[in-house]
Amino acid sequence: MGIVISFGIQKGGVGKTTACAITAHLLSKEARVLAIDFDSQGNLTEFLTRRDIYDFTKQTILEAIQEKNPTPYIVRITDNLDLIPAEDILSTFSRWLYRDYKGDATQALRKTIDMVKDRYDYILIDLPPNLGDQTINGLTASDFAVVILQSEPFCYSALERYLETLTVVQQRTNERLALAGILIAMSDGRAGIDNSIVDKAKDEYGPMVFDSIIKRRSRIKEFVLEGIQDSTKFDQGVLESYIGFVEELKQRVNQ
Amino acid sequence: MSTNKADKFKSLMRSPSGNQENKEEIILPTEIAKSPAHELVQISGKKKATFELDAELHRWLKVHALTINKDMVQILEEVLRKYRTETERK
Repeated sequence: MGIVISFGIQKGGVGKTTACAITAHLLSKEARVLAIDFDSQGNLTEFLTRRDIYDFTKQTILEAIQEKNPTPYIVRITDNLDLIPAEDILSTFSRWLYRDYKGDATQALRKTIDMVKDRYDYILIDLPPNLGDQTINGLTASDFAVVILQSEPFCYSALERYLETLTVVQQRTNERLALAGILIAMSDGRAGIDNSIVDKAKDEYGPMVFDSIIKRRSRIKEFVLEGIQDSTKFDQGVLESYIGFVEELKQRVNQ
Repeated sequence: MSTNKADKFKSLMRSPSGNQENKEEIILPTEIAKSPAHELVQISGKKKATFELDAELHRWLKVHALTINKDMVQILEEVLRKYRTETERK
């Protein structure tokens, strides 16, 4: 049975999608992985397929949920990595949920994922940067949540609010939800403010924070165009902190 | 090390045995009551109630609810409704 892990925080541009995509890529080296793009921006779709998101119009996670059958919407990326894409139309999810969906509005994604859960070892969900029906559905479908913390002040203030949301979801819609941990991403070790936020997060949240810290690297942006590369020593160095994170993540979710 | 926030969210962490810690704690902090997600669940017409339940009974209820694919609250509501009907009949 696949372990469902969501990547989120109520703040955009902090590295959620990048972390989700690279984690999916690394996990798929030794396990079967399904990545679900649950953000209407479709960045995970673009990252993993390197195609225009409109190539997937009417073949997205929205249709998978509406038809209660994800199988026709699964796109094969590599032998071990599949994707269910997203594009702009996912922004109509709430309207569909309250107008047409018959059932508990928090459980629609979970029911869809349950149908393919036994085909994968890991199912990763990339969540949007706002709190709404997509995030609530994503967390309700998850066994674990990875919370991304970019070491900058706005993101730090969003962290506690997001953890409160996880607590509410755990109490109300998904008792089995657990925090895998807080991943510090896009950190600039040369900036004093970044370092003080990293220290503050470790001080206040202790072992909830992953030891691995993702540094800001411009090469990562090129991966979006070229695909994730790991054949050169330089690229292996770029991926090193992600590899460390994935090892920690595996340990935490497989306990 | 300041542990206020780590303590506040410790129910989110899973212990090495695989269980979530502090699972019996179901009182919402006031900060949580303010969150947008909490507002979302409030529209379901539910009222929050906090009880100290017998631990063994709680364990059984939890397992039973999972077995029959129901929420613990659904079972408790059914039992309470039945009890109310019987009590009012007397």
